[in-house]
Amino acid sequence: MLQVRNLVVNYGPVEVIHGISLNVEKGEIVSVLGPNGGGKSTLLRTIVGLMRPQQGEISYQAARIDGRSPEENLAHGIALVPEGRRIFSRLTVLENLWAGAYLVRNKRVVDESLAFVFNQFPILAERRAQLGGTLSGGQQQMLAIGRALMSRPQLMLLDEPSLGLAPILVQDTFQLIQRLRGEGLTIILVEQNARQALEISDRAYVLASGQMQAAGRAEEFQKGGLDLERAYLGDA
Amino acid sequence: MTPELLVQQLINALSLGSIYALLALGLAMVFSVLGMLNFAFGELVTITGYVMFWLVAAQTSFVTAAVAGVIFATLASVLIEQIAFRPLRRAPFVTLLFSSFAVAVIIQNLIRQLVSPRPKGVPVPGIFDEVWRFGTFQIGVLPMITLGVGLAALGLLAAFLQRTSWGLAIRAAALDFEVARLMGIRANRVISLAFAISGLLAGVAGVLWVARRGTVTPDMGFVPILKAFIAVVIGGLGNLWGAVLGGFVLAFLEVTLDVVLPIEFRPYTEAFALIAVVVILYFRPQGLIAAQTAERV
Repeated sequence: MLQVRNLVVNYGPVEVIHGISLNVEKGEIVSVLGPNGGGKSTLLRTIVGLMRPQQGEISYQAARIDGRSPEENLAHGIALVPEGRRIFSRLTVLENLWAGAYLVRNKRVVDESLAFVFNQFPILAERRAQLGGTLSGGQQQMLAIGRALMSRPQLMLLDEPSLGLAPILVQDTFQLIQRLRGEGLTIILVEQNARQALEISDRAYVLASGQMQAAGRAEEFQKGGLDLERAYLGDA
Repeated sequence: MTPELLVQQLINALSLGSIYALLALGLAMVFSVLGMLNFAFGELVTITGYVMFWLVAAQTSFVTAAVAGVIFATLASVLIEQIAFRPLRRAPFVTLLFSSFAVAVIIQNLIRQLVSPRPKGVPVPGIFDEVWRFGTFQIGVLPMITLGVGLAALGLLAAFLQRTSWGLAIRAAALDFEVARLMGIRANRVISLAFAISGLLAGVAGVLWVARRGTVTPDMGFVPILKAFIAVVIGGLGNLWGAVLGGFVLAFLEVTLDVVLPIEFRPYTEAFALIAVVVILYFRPQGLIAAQTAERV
């Protein structure tokens, strides 16, 4: 579904991703693990088009998408749930969700999506008139994911969804991601919380110092066939 | 103070405040979406003024001239963005600032060269100078018109921002431009829209400004942008409704000082108003309404 080949990305004058490749099949949950500053967020931001790659190719459903804008990518079904949730704090819960459906012109489709999101997160339905900024951290995470769902994506990129959440909420979030896959979504999950991410993933990549240090099936990392710690340190 | 005087000054403050609020909202609109202070904003008021001057001199009615002035200010605002700011989209903040200064200087000098460096009169309809009398109360027609037009414009804009999907796009982009793009909101489109609204507000404020002054000058945009800037800072930089509030607060400060200060201090009203602003900012450096509620984790 998504292929990344030999991707090189600069952040200002500094090269932060040095030629990485990645492949995601339809219906998979693929984790990208690795230490802070390893280039994980940059990878996701480049896939959706917030950043332009220096070199390399990104293809989605057999079409080149490097160079496309985030708007075009969203229209083609790629949605990013950004790091830190970044909900619109001064918009109501409902307005946040409507913003997520900005590209959907059919009112009935919007209402259907809204019903789906409220069904997944009943607390958001209860608080629909509240400002986004008044929600708790866990509720904001639900809103961020719900907002991304409003565009009816096929491929969802999640950047550190567990960051700053209480352990019980982290569990909920990972369970939700599994449910979404059950609904037919393909998911790329960037996480620092490696152990829990591996439990729900089919495959994982370890990105450290801007290079793919390891790649394989999630069980191989869990059983120790692939050494996660050494990959983190960049010498696997 | 007599109740009559109190009511008159209240209406003066509200009418001046609605002009300041329009100006501040126009400046804040672009700032909150683009993170840039558009110093050419005052020249949109100037453009409105000169379009009105031409049309009124050509025997057009004042209302037609006013509508044309607003339309020209709106178009000019969108055009300025495309010419002076869009090519610099990835440039640092300071570059954009200089570009907006350059636009302001160019427009001022074009008017000096093509029209005249001297003030030009724009005759306003006689009714503007009339006074309505209710018993012992005397209320100027112009302040009432100003207040009515100002509040109507603010109300329409609020409805647009709160009730339409374009309005939602603007508010979302004002809060977090990058995430707005992730929602599929086109960057160029929402920026053009912000500049159009900014120009429209400058145009409406410009009409009211010209109606008060009755003259236009090449540098007439300076005071409006200064007031807008102060109001935006009082209200909280980057916050749309804060800017409106800031506009009314500034007008109330000025009008109150005008009434309260001893006659020999009247020339310094604006200086005292600025001191009051400094005091406000000392206690609330983030402005009356902070731009973003704190992120909760």
